[in-house]
Amino acid sequence: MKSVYRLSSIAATLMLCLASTGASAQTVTLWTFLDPAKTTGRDVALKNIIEQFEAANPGIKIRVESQVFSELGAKFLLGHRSGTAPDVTFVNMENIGALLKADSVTDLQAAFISKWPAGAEDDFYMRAAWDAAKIGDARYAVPLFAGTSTLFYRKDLLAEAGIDPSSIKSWDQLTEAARQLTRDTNGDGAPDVWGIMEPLSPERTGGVSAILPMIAESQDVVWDSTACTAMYDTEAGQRAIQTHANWINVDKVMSGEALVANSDDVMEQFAAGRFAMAVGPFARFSATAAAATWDGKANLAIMPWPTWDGATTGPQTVTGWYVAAWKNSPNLEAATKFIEYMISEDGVREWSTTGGQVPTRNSILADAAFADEKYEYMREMQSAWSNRSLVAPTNCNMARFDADLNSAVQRVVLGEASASDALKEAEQKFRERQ
Amino acid sequence: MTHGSNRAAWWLVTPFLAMELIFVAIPLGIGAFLSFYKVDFLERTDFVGLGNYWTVITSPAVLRSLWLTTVFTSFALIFTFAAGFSLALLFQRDTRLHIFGRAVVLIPFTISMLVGSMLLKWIFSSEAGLMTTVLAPLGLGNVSILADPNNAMAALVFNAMWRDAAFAMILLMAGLKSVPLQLYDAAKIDGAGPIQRFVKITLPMMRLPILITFVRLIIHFTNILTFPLILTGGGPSDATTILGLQLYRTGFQDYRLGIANAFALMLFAFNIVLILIVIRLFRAKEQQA
Repeated sequence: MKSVYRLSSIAATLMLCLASTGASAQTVTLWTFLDPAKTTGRDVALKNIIEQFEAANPGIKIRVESQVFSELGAKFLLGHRSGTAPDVTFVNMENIGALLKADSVTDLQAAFISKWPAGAEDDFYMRAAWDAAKIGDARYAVPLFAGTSTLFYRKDLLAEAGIDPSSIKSWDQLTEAARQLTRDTNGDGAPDVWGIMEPLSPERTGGVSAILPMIAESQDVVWDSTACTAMYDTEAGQRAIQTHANWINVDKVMSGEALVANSDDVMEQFAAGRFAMAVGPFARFSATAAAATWDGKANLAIMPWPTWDGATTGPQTVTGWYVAAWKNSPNLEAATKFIEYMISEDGVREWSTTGGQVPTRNSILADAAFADEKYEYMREMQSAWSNRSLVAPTNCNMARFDADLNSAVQRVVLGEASASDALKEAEQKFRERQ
Repeated sequence: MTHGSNRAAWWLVTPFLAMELIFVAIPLGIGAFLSFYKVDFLERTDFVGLGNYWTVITSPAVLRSLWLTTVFTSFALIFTFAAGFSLALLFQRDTRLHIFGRAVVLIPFTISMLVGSMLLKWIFSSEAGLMTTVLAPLGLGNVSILADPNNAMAALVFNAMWRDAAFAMILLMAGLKSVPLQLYDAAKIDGAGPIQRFVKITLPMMRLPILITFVRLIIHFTNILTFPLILTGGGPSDATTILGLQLYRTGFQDYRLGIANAFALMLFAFNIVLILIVIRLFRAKEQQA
């Protein structure tokens, strides 16, 4: 009998211990495309942020479940339907609308932003990006790191050709510069270095394009966010498509391979020295500089989008990754606390210094550390976004809009349609998706 | 069969029937159910009856994909089958050299489809590809393979043949090895040459393996996604957007799952029809023989 009592008391003690452990170590699950076990900048930044957060909040543990980035949005929605979604998820801008429509994420304004001191929100200088997931007074996701497509160039090749990058103000000047930079070094009749390159495949381009800035520069509304219709077949649209087609067919400053190149292809071959200028995802700056077969650290730079008249710089699109908390999370308070930390000054500093991302907060860019020349590209991008940023409507299905525009260029390049007809088709595809 | 052994047989089959039910029949049923609804962003909303089916049937993009799939499947089937049969005949003996040859031929089949297609994309790229180097001495250094609609389709067919000829070889070699050698010996004694032996003995005896190979390849090529997704991205100008890619885009990129389910079920029916046609053609040939 004595042994029964002893066993019972041991079991009870163990259960109490387990229960207390469960109560003290709350686990917040995070779905992200990053992996803290890896060594790239953003992966390490996430690892550091988690360590700092856990040290400051001993009762909360963050469990990272890495996902394929292209499947994150759809998987989260499935998880929401089946009640198995994570507490916190990364979400790319294209999928914010889907999460909002499914009423799957919680209001972060009510959770913590409304408790900030007055004016604290203004530190997030990309207003369009900050408000992308705002409905009324509620804000369902906040930007973690902003992305965009941008024009990369090689300082060394431009210098060799006697081109001052700051003199490229208009699209015509860009075309002329690309013409000078296109070179056949071995005399086989085919250029070895193309002036400019852009991903024009309908697959895996990640919204990277110069077409949209060309259109948006001349018309305030590219998409009607109320009716969810696209307005591509305009004078600006036709001009943008025809310019791209001319780069391949007439000016011969861009390889025809652009039609099947995705953003990975373009950046890999740019790093290999095949192009003097390339349109690519801004987030690839550090990786491209490191991977370049030429001196990437000294010679890689970005320039703002030109405009048709060259009087100002073109509109800079804002894409990138946001973070949101699952509405039905059993750990909602801890989840929102972690999100608040990720976008705090400490968090943003980590994303920027370790992760190589442009700070989403103005105050961080003002840090003395960012005065260093190696952060010149960040200041350049911050300036471009501050001048004019462009965000696609989050309440419409924006999936593959870039593929539609790329297909329009393809149709014109191959002589299958006029720019106007190709853009009408793109508008039709956009409409069908809503 | 006794009552007891019948029961044992059912017990043995039950786990597999349960798996078929869970992973095939129930998803198919759910898919069929959702195909009658508007489902956007995984949210089922309005009942649309046969509306999704009508949208698929009347979509110019789908009809174009159907035509491109027919072209792709036809050429891929012919070339893959011919290559597979040739390889099976070449390597059917069991000498060390032949076994080594089989192993080499199997390499493209053993690496993942995604990696294989990426490799070919690099090879075909006119910017950095090996193909440009190979074609340059022939004066074709400036020929673009993937950026030209016709060449891109040819590259897609090549991708299929390069990877799946080994698969066809395995299926056909199994058939070749089951042909009784006495038949060839008897034919030799009767004075039949190699071509006569192939036409009069090998082909008739291989009818079933050939049918199986045809059916497996047709299903594979009609539904393939990886080749166009990785190699050509469906381009240029949708010249290689075959049904598998069109379906993938509708469901997993556009998030129009109601339409995608209707599309998938129609593709399923299309597969069945194709297989029935092939089987009927073989039966008709058999009856003639």
